[in-house]
Amino acid sequence: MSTATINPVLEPVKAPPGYVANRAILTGGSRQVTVLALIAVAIVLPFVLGEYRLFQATQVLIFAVAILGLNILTGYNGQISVGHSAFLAMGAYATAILGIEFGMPYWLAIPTSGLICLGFGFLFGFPALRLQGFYLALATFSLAVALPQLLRYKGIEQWTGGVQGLFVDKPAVPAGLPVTPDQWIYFVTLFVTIALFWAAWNLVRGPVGRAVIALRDHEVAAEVMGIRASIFKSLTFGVSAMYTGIAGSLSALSIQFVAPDSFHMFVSVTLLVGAVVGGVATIWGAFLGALFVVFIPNVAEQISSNATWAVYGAFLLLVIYLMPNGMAGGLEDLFRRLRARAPGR
Amino acid sequence: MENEAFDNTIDDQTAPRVSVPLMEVKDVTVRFGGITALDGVTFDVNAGEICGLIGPNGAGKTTLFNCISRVYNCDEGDILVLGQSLLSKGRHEIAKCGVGRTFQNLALFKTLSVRENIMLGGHSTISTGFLSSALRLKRVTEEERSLSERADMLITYLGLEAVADAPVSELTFATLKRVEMARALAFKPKLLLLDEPAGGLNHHEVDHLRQLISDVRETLHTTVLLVEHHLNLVMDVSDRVVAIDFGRVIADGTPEDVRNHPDVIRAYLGE
Repeated sequence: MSTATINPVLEPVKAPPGYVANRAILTGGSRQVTVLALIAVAIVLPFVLGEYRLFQATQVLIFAVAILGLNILTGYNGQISVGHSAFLAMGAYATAILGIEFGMPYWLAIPTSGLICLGFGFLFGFPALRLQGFYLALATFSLAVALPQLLRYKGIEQWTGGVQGLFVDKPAVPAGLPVTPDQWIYFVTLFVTIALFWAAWNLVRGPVGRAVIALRDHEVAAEVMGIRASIFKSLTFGVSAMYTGIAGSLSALSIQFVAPDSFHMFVSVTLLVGAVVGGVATIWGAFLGALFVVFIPNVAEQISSNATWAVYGAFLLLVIYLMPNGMAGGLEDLFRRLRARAPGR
Repeated sequence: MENEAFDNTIDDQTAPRVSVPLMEVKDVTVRFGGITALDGVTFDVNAGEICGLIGPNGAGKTTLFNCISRVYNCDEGDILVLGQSLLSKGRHEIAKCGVGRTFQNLALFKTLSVRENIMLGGHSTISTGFLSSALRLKRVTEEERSLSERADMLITYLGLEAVADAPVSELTFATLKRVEMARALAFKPKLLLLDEPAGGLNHHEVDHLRQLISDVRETLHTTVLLVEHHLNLVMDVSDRVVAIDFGRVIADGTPEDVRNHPDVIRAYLGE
């Protein structure tokens, strides 16, 4: 590799006042250590938590994957979806039907469901190219509103179980492993979550992530730079649907049941809440958002069982007001402030 | 100093001899409803030259730029780069044809850093897709490294080191103009289209720009088509100037000829 240099043609610009060059709170080694420590905690967790708490932990991971999927589309690419519960439903039903009708083992059904959602998402992404902002939001909304009812349709009842829904077998623990079935589904979910977060992290900080953001920021300029907007945006829609679909697949396996009512359009709004509260266009914000949407309703109920949703709404307003960049942004700011105050720096 | 990463010279097979046109604009006509924005515009841009395109407001300069970069469609005529028609290409393919551009009112990716903006400018040179990127294959990291090296050199070239990692939304207008230039140069274009690069700059900054445009041709061997209102700048840096008015070419020649052409004087000063 040549160490080519070139002489500057212009005098250098000065940094604006107050400009901080490196804003990452964790870099290189310390980031790896933090991630490994979190994974270690996640591996120990099922051995210290009770049955219900373990179920909640599994739900947090599943929501994190679903929210990450929505964030790839809405956060990074700027395509607003209020219909992602439809992809959650597709993934869940695909896993249930593949298991029941075709006897497909769960470890194969998870990626297959993901690919089915990738296909649907990609196809939905094409007409969605012509829509922006409110109109795209409404188009995705129509998907979310329609799907639960379509799943109840008599003509396909023999596949979908109609109003009754379908029961799903819990994944069997591999012979010889000293874990309960609940612990096992947690570990399966954890493994899939880690793989998908790793892939998303690679995507967003690489050339594809740059292109996805560029299309959001200035589509014409991005195209002139060589990005084919139609394919790229549809693929982003597909990948987003795949993530959320895999989350649906995992939820079918952990709850062992799918029914149309589990995928009410309110679930779409919950995902959007998770994405925004966690931090738009952040990767690890999806975790924080998942913690919020899983635990805050419980906390709200403990505070007031008569006004649960009012308390939930108050929490939501509080987060938006105190942390305009979501919980991820808020925590990063806090961390930076603490570090700036720490002596010896 | 032979500089591999900055060598923009055209491959031997396709290298045009002196005065062979790099770009040919042939009879280009564009109509918006009842208005004819461009009316049979014909001129060439030769390899290695700096060609200025001037004309009063509304003469059709930016419309022509947008035709070349496939933002608008032409109703008639053709635009060829190295003998290849651009009109059959999609907007995302013009970079592959060797054409890069800047935008009149800045079209940067505001949430990306300066370095990321420049690296994105090289997008047409990479082959990374979703899957290879998600799995972070070796090819991806190699392509990223070469994009990043090219970006580093352009950052040095344009004096952007101090702000290389800043999101562009935090920078001043004059700095952003440099970033746009760097982004357009990232894929080593054969032809660089500059759309009013002096717009919004002060005297001092225009002097910088003058120096920069000449240097881009000398050091990076890039042919330049320059649309500009700042007539002194155009006359100083251009080898040749094309003047258009009401969508027609009214003069085409050396800066001196065009400056003294009666139709040009009339277009600018009125009867």
